[in-house]
Amino acid sequence: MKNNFDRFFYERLHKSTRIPPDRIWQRIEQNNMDKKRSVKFWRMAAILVVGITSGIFAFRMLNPVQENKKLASNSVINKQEKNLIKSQSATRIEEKKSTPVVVMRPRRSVKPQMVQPIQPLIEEVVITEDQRLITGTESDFTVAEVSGSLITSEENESAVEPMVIIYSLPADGSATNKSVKATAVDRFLNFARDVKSGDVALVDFKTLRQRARFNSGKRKVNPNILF
Amino acid sequence: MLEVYRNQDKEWIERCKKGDPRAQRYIYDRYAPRMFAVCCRYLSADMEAEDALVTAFTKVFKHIGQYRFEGSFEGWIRRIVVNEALSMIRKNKSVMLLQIETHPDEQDLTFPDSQLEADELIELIAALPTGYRTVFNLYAIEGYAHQEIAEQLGINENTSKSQLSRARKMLRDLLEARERQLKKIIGEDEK
Repeated sequence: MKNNFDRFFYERLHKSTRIPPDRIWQRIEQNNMDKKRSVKFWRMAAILVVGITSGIFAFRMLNPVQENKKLASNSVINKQEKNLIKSQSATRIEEKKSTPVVVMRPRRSVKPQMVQPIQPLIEEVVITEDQRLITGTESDFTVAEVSGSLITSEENESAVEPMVIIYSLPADGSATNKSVKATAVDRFLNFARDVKSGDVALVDFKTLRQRARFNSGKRKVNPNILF
Repeated sequence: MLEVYRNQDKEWIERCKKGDPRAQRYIYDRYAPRMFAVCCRYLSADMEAEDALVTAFTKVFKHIGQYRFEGSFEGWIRRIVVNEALSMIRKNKSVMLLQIETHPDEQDLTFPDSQLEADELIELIAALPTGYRTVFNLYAIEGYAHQEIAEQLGINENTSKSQLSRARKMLRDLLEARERQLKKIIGEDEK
C-alpha cells in the first residue's frame, strides 16, 4: 500500500520522459545489424548443412537400384571367385588323384619301355624330383611326388632299344613330404647299391646332359631330365 | 482515441516483428523517452543509463516476436528496461543493502507540498545510495511488493522494507532542503 509520499513520486515520475541522445539509436541500429548478420550467417550455414545432408539422403533413396546392383555385382563376383577357387581346387585334387604316378615323357627319339630286369645296356641313371608339382602351391607340397627315371643314352638308340625304368613313389595324399623324401632316398640308395655291385652300368652324367642340350637345340634343359 | 492508438501500435508492432527498420524506429521514438527516464531513475550515471537503454531496446527488437498482445506493450518494454537496469546494477556490484532491524514503514510521512518538476525529482532520487534508490523505485514507482523486490534483488524481505523506509526519510530531507533553497531564491527575487 502506497502512502502519500510514494503517491506523490509515482504521479510525478511514472509518466515522466527524458529525451535520449541520438547516439543511442545509432548504437541500437548497429547492434541490430550485427545480430542480423550473425543470424544470416548461421542460417546460411544451417541451410547448407541441411541441404547437403538431405541431398545425400535423397540421392541414396532415389538410387537404391544402383546400390543393389553394386551389391549384387559384388556378391556375384564373390560367388564367381569362390566357385572358381572351388573348381580349381577340385580339379587339382582330381588331377592328383587321377595321376598318382608321374610318368616322365621321354623324348621322341627315346622310346620308353618297361623292362623287367636291369640290363647292362642301361648306361645312365637319373633320379629327379618333380619340382613342378611341388612348387604348384605350398599345400601341394605334401602330395609331392618323387620319381626317378632311368634314361638310356641317345648314343645307343640305334643299337639297342632304349629303356626307361621308372622309379615312382605313389602320390598318396596322406604321405608327408618327409616320408616321401625318405622313401625316395631309400630307393636311391638301393639303386646306388645296385650300380656299385655292377648290376647297373653308369655313364658319365655330364656328357649325357650336354648331349641332351645339344640335341634339343636350346639352352633350356630337357624337361624329361630334371635336376 | 486510445483504441486508435492501440490499433496503430499493433500495426507497427506487427511490422516490427517482420524486421521492418521503419517500424523499429517508430517504436523507439514512441517509447524511448519514457524508458530513458526509467533508466535514469535506477542508474545515477548517464552513461550507465544509456548503456542500459541500448541493451534493453536491442532485446526488445530481438524478442518482439514473443509479445502476444496480452497486456500493454509499454508495460512489456518497461519490464525489459527495469530488468536490464537491475542487471547492470548487479554487474557493477554497487548495491549496498544493509539489514536494518527497525523499519518504520507504517508511519505516513507528511505529503510534500512541492512544485518540483520530474527532472528535479529524478535528480533527488539519483542522489540516494544505490540500494535505497533501487528499492524505492521498485516499490513506489513500479509498484512491486516487498516479496517480489526481495526475490529480484536476492535479499531478505525485511531488508527491502528497511531500505524503503530509509530511502523515504532521506528523500524527504532532500526534498525539504530543496524547497527551502527554492523559497530562498524566490524570496530574494521578490525583494
